[in-house]
Amino acid sequence: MITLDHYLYLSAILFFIGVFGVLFRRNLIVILMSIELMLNAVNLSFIAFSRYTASMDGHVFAFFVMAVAAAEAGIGLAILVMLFRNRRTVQADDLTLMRD
Amino acid sequence: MISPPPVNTEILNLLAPLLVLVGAGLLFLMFGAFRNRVGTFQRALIVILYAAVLFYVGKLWNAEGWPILNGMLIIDRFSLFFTAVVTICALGSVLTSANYLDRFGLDRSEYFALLFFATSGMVVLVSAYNLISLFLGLELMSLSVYVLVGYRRRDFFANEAALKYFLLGAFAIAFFLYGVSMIYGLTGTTNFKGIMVEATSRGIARDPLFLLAVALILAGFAFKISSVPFHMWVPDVYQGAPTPITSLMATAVKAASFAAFLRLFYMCFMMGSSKWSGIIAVLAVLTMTLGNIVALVQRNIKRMMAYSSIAHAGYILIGLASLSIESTRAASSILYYLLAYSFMTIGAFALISAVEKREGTRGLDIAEYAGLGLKKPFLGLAMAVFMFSLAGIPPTAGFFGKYYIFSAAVEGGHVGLAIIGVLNSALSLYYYLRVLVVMYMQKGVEPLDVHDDLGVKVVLLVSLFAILWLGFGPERLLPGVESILEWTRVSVAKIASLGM
Amino acid sequence: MLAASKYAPVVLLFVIALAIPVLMIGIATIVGPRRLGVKKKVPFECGTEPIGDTRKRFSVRFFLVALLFIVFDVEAVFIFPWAVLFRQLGLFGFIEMAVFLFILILGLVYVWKKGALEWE
Repeated sequence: MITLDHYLYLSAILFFIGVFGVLFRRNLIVILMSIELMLNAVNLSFIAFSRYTASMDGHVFAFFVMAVAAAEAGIGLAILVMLFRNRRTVQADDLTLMRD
Repeated sequence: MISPPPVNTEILNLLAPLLVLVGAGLLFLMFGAFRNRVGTFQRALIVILYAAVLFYVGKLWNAEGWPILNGMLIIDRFSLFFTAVVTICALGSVLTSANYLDRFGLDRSEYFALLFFATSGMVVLVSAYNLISLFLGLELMSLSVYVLVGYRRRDFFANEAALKYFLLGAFAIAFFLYGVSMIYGLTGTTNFKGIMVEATSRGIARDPLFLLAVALILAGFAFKISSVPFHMWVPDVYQGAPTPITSLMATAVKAASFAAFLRLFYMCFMMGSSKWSGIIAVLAVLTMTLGNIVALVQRNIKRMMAYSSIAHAGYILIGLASLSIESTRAASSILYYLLAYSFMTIGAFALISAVEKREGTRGLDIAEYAGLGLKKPFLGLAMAVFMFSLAGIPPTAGFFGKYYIFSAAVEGGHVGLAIIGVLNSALSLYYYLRVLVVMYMQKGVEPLDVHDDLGVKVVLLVSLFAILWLGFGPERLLPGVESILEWTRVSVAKIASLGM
Repeated sequence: MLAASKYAPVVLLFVIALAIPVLMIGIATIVGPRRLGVKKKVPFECGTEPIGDTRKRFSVRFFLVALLFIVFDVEAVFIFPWAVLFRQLGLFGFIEMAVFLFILILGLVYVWKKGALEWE
């Protein structure tokens, strides 16, 4: 029997895979993908909660998160393409133009 | 059974400011599709549209203030106050932009479309009464601002700033959402009132998972208001963004985020437990001290203003830490402070954008302000007032803002916080006055060319006037300090009563 | 187990479908002769000589198309629930969706006029 806890554990695991991806990977596209993974983990927990508390708000929230995540991915890719055209790099370590 | 939310003329009336902004955004998107340059006609139209928003805010000022659209939004005194603040900030940014965009070859309709979308996001954010609309407002604002930060596409600094802001912003939003999903799981609702009722009645407020969720939401907001430890992006992004957009980020984005933060915490989370005020107090001390100390050594004026804006976020956090259910004083002092701070920051950035240029050090080094005070007496005077106000010297609005916040802290039993705040203000005096010393005491090496066109001058004049009026303006023609404080008290009392 | 028996043919199909390729590959590896040469190690490219590296960089235009696709595709998430409850939502739902689609179409007009849909 799969209970609410199982979904929440899965969601937490996915979320932290995303967090570690953002913190430790240097490729900006991989970082972007990790953020998307975090958002999907959140969606999973919304849907699971919605199923087990029998209210629809969680579904609605997940819809909005999906739509916003798509817009966010679009803007993120656009910024990345812009950076690549100018600098020919997608590595986080190369972003060192501004320092104190 | 599905019952569609009642939409009638009354509700459309209440939504008028928002509808004007969204419509304006779409209109300028279409301008962008069919012709690219922004003419005098479009410029006038932008100002008229923003003025229309302010007009509707005035018309709705005495609105009932009940949740509308199935409890998604609430149009009350508090949200109208902040709608006015963000509209004024956006208008200031628009007026500063005209000349700046021309000089940097960025003169496009899309810029203004994005500005309108960002403003409508802020309006949703400050009127949110449900975590869904809060999230949507936050994202509509943030996504537009991400693009605006990177608007100078060929500029390396802008590329880097946009990417940093985007990645860290999206990262912070993910934490915020994770917190929201836990709150939803525990309370079964996303409505503010529902959360408040569930949290206090069933003792959920003491559940460790609930505390974790609130901490995650706090982290998301701390990023938006640039509080320590989520402040690392601020100087870089402020430096790389076009200056009118930096001005927008330092004022409107911050004010809107603080508004949503205040409403959510005041209604939902403060009631259950007093632990939060301790945590926020620690954040406040760290934020203002770090901001002020690092600002001391900055040579680039935009970076200096970035650290100064971090420090000011710290002062406002003192107000948040001294929130209490019994007294509305702390909350109303935050509203007053944000209004005063917005005016002085808009003014300072309008001046910075007038001095900025494309080549060399880009006219952003503080040393390049040498001789400005004597060559351009009006600009010198305006900058002096902005700096005095930011440092908190009487009789400017900055002084009264700090005074109200610190006295609210003392009243709430946070004497230590107030003392640290005063010490920090004294420290900040050094770097604000240094700008004035350079402006008046040093001789300029090369001839200054300052692009102070009509728009910049209007912004300078209006913010100069507002700062002095908010300081000691009498109560006749325009509402003075007394009535503004009264408005803030009324609007905050309304939130507190809804929370009861 | 009545409900399960209804699906028994499907399960059987799965088993057979899985068994056939396993058997084919298995028999081929056991019975078939092994003669490795240089020609055999080269990736199969329909009989022609392979040219260049497989990990090729592709045009940034694909990003643009992918980006637009994502944004417009996800809107189906909102249209689908409306379509399911079309009758209950009635005229109100229809007007709401019309407003939503109108805004979306303005976005499409913008993209179109800007030439983002043209490949060259």
